[in-house]
Amino acid sequence: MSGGPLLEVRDLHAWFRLHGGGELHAVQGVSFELEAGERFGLVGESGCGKTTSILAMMGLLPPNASVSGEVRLAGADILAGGEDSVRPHRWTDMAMVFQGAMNALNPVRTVISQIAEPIMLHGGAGSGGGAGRAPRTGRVSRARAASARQRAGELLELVGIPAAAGSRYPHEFSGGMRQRAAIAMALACEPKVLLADEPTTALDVMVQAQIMDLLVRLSEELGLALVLVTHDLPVVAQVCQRAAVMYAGEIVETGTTDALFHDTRHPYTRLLFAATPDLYSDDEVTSIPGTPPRLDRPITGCPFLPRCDSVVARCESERPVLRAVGARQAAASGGAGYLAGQPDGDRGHVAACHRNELVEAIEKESP
Amino acid sequence: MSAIATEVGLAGQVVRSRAGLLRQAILERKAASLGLFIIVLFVVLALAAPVIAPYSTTARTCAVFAPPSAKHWLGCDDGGIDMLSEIISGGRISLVIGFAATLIAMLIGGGVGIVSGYFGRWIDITLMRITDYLLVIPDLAFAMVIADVWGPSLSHVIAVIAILEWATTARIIRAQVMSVKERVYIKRARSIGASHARIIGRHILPQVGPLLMANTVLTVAVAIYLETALAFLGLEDPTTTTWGTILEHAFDRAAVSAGAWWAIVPDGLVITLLIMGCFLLGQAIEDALNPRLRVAHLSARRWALRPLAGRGPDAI
Amino acid sequence: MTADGVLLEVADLRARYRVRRSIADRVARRPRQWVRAVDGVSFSLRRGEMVALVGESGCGKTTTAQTILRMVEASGGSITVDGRDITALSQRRLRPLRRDIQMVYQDPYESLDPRFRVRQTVAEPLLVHGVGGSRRERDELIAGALERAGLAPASLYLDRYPHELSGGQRQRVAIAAALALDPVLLLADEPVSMLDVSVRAGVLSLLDGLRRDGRLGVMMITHDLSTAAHFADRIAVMYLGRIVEYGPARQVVTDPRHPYTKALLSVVPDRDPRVRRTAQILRGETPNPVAIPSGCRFRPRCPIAEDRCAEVDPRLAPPATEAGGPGPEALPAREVACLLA
Repeated sequence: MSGGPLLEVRDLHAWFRLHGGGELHAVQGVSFELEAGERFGLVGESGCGKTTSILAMMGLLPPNASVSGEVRLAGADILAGGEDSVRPHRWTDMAMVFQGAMNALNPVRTVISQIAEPIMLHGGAGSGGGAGRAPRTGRVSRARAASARQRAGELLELVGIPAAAGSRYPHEFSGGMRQRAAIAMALACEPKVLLADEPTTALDVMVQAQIMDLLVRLSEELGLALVLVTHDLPVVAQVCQRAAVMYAGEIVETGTTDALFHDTRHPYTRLLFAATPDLYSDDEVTSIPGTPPRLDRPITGCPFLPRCDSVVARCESERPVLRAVGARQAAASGGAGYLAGQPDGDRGHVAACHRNELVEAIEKESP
Repeated sequence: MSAIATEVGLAGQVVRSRAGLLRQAILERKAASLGLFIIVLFVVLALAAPVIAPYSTTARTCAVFAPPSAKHWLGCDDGGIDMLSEIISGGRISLVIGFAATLIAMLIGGGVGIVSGYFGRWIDITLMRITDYLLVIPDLAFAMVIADVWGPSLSHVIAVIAILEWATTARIIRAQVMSVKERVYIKRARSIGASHARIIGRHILPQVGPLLMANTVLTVAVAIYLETALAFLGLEDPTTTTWGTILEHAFDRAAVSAGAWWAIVPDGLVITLLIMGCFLLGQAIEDALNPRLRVAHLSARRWALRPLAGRGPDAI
Repeated sequence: MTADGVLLEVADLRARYRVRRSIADRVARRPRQWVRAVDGVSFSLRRGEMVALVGESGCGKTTTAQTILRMVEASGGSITVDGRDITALSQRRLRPLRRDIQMVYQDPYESLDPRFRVRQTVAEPLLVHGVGGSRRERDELIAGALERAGLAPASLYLDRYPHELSGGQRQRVAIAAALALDPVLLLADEPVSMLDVSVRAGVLSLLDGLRRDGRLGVMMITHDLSTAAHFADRIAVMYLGRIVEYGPARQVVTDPRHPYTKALLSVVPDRDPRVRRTAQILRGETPNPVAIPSGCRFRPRCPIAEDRCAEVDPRLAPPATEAGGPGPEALPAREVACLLA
């Protein structure tokens, strides 16, 4: 594959028409990019728009939604023609593991048949979707069904479930196994990008570790690009190489997970880390007072203003924009290997905070 | 620091309280408003019956099967009694029977459903076997036997309809109670030490109330229908005037062969209209209460694509 | 209250559920099977203390709480609250004692009746137990409870419905309802796991503060070891219905003795991406509590199991290698249920 990144999301917006009139601006200009084999975390709390963002990317939003922006898979914008241009890529190039997918398995069908189904419908091996599609109407040939079943068995093994167990029903599987089955189903048509929505949230910590391990292994062995959507910072820190923190529908900081923790630039990111208890540190665990802003009204100034502990004058009138962060004194950040002072773009460490820009400007003048 | 927030779910819908949901369901759906209007109209007419009926329903005021005319808008029946007056007065009695029977059926059915669903185990088993028995009995055959044994009378008709109707309600309410019983706030109330009576009265009944209401409206429709059927089969007191007995008299006295459609059709029409009104309203309430019945996600419409976007109010 | 301030004493507590038998089972006369959800749990809680019951799903921690609350009948062992044995009391005689033990549930969206205003939810326990003679008295108690739970000024919240409040606020309302009767013991079942991260610390600090001002003791159930390490005085790690390690929170986390505790701690992800622990991911998943293995119940998944582990069921006891004797601040010494600790 040539030059550009595998997945590029540019200025993604999503609105929902509200019942009594009015609109909810759920996603407000999300941009990021991924290479093959890269694991990217989309972190935020409930209502920040992270799930809506990936649903918008897959074209799975309900009829009262409208979307704008670009989603480029290997250069081509799949969002350009609406549903018709997204559908051929859905599942075959970009697949999703939904929140609570482990509970969304069909209880009256065996696990292996549910994994074989998308293979039969979309044509599995090595296609971008077009060739090898099953005819629209009913009948699938025996040979095709048999090969789909075999492929499904291979997928189960790939995610750590013995293929023989596939002929059981979902209720006979434990929670962790069901989550793996959901991941196998998403991988059925060999997508290049996997979007995982809270894959470990409902699981025990031991099973969570198994799934985290699985996701890392899949991205390393298959070259799968992974977008991990979660509220759980430690999971992202251990699984992903880069991450974006979302608040009120927009990204407030993006960077390597190392930079996000060791060279935090946005107050929300900092407060979020401070609110996450650590096993071995005695640091006080704090909470962030207040609630996120309503997204059905336009916001002036910074959306985080009411809850921020480091407000400067500009925050009230001007909405901050994601800008590349300047290099800090290397010693202060412990010789971090982050990409400092990159030209504008979505690679590298960017943050949307007036105070940060102010501090950088001051530091530049008086080193 | 704003402490109060309205919760916004993923789909961007503002979550409303249940009372609001009901009002919204009725006011927003034209069908439901229509249904409510029809019912209210009939109730008002029934209450005003003695005042607005043009002629007496006992004294003969015109010729046998006289056709509709300026003086008698709907003509007359086999006994020379004005049809319009009969229908208006008959509606009064029919509605009384319908509402009374439904009320009794709701009280019994609701009570049995709540007790059965809440206490479970052998109480549930016993009550449900009785309910099953009543559900299985063919309505009209049962009605005919009872009418034969007890003799035709208004109160007997009400009783028969009530007996036939409470079983369905009991089952529906029981299912709802069984699911509400598992909710965490019920368990919390139990762990505080709240008595069964308190939990049923303060927590379960309000949850079950709307469903009971939907069911009541639908049961009224069935009660009206059953009353008509019972009367038509000759199981009602022939001296009373109800919509059913009007029909019964008409067919009995060969109105069809006499070509006297006005003795049959208007009556059938009002029955149909009321039943339809009840159904429209009842279905709308049920729809509002049961999100799973909503079929919006099956619509052919899709999410829309906006060509350009930017920040600020002048964005497209 | 007992002399040494022990609020809750649980000794060898057991609770089990029947497994439904199919007709085939009945015909074949197979013996009835039991799910031994709580299989011999012992610990104590003093006024002003917080004990965390930690474990994965199916370990029996929630059932333990429900048994203490007497919502589930104990099949063995004893529960002593404030010096009184409540294990076998009839529900009628238990009722007045329910004032002393209150529980806060996991789901803030489900634990409040959506039709009750905040005022009514907090008033309910008062009404049930006949506390507060007049409406005014009750209103004062309600406002007091709300403010104790961090919802001040109370007048702002009294007439709200649950759907108008955020998750954190709802949980505080649930806590206020639990505090209304001035209990001595507060059981919190995963009180923050369904709340946003930024809100958790607030509610946990609230619980922490409540037990520190000396009026009550808190037993917190959680699967999150980090939370337990931060806020609890003592941690009891549960596995398949038993406590396998029990001791001061800091000690259990920094110096675990039971292989299960060690494995659990090793798989907790660290928020610092530079910290990479060697995760001891155990094979398989927690077995079904219907078929508890013989000998040590952790044996099939234990990385250091020996032959003798299949024969002896280890009891909770101070580890062999410990100096012995009470730890600092007169806290009980730690205990481990492992032959090799």
